[in-house]
Amino acid sequence: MNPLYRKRNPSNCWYLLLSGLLILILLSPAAQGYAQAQGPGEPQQVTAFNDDLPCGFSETEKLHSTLTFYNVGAAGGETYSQAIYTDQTYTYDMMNDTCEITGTREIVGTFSGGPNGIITFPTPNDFFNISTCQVVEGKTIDCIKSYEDDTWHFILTIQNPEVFQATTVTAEYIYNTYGIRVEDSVGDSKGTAKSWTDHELSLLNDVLKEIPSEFLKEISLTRIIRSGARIAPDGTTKPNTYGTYYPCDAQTDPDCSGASTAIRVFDAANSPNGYFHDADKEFRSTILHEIIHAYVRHNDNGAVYTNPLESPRFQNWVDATKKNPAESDQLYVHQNGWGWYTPPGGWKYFGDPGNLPPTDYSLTNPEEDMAESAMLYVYDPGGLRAKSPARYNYIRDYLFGGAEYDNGKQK
Amino acid sequence: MTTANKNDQRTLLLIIGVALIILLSACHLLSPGSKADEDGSARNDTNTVTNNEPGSSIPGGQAECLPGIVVGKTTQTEVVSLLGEPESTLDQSDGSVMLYPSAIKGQFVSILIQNQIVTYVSVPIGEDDSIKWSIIMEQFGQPDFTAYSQYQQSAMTYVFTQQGLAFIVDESMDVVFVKECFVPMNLEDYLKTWGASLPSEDPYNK
Repeated sequence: MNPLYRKRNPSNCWYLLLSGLLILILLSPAAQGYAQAQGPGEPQQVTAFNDDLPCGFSETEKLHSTLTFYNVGAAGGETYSQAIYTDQTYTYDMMNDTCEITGTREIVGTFSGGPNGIITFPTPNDFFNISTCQVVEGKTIDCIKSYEDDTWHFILTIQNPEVFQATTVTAEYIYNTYGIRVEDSVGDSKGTAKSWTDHELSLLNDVLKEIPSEFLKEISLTRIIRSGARIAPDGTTKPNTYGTYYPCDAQTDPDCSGASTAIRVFDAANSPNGYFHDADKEFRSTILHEIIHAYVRHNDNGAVYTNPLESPRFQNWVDATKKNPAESDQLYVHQNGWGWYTPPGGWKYFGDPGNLPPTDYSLTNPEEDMAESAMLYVYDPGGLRAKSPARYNYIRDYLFGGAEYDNGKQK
Repeated sequence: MTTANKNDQRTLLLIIGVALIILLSACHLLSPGSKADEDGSARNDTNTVTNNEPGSSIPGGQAECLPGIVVGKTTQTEVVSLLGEPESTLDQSDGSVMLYPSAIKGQFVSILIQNQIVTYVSVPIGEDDSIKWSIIMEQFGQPDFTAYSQYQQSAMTYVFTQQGLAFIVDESMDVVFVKECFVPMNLEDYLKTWGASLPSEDPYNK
């Protein structure tokens, strides 16, 4: 038979067609595991005003002031951090009780982000200093003016409070606001398939918006992936694993540059069977726990520490949690805090009874101690303070820049 | 003609290039320890004790984990003469552990002494002297025994009982954290001794 005129085999034709379709499906964004963006999510400008500011001692003349900023603030990156306060300058004639508007002035500050964020202005900025303004539930803004030792408040009303009330947090919103990609898992060697729900995305946002923006800059994390169950390195499925931080995938990122850093959140995190006996809190706290691992692994050179024991943040934690922190030596053989004992190879903790790792799981190793302690710092601060004031103080001062929490929200 | 000659030359160069790549690959496959030898030269300064030869020489069938120290043969006195006095010695029920500073702050090279003889050596591997797990696998093949590790999440312990070697590894990162040496033995004996204390379940769930 002339090969040029060989009869076409219909099954081959279908095979080719199906193969082509399969390739197209595999190359599609959905198959890559990207959660689809939906609904609102872009950073939006907020405008607030007050038309009732006094002009000198005038009973009739009032001044106009405005505040403009982005709803996501510094949490969404430097681009969205600026807040601009504008009001009117004036001269007041006390003899005639008249007020003359002479112009406008601007004061530029920084907004932390979110419906309860804080605007901070550099001082001194005026005869009457404006130091801070607190956004209250995304509806009003409580600003503080001061003159010498006297302070007083004035309230601005937010014209578009709906920008703080996005009903649906999307993957796109998380990426635009925090620079972290949110992905569904289609099932791979590290976890079974699962997708984020809207509620879980909202819980993720709850965690991220309460973390100080400066802290978020200090973590190595590019993706947060939702998976059903963890698959361990030996191939077994681990349905009781809550979450995992992966600092590096050598197959895609052989130099461990930080590009493959990822957190996986598993189904076990979404159950009321953990420390808090509250599914939502368990889910939030698991994410925060894994973020602490991302903090430990962060290397200032942009890469990650493949071995957390080499991270100065890990080493500082081990020093800080010693029974006797004043001891300058590193010798765990003095039974002073955390040590790796080999053979046979295991972590042991010798500590002050008044400053112990706060959960059973935190006794697993020093890095878990740090992640669990920070988790309690945010979601059960009273519990952490009672079990280990030293841990509470260290996290407040060295991790979260002084920010303190009440049930997951910054005070 | 000139064009034809140039084309011929290009084809020849291409063939030579491909042949060179094949030869280089073949040479690399035939000497799997070569990369490790480049990266893993032993360092022994005044402050730390390290040995990064992933395969290690195996004189007399016994693993040499640190330069000059052979498990099952080297005596405590010889260790002191080779490495100096330990930073500290930890007495255990089954012997004493001599501790020397390692490349990682707060972690120690541990040398277990039983009846005056070295029976176990554990060496933490620093990032500067990192060993790739894939290189070890190329050299030794599949391990005889695998267990979880308490070292950190996702870490596993891979054991080559016949070679008297164990490695604590994160396979997804292709990184060896700790290299350990013991007197070579069969799997059954290993499971009764050193292997008995390794976790059979993953100690980490988040």
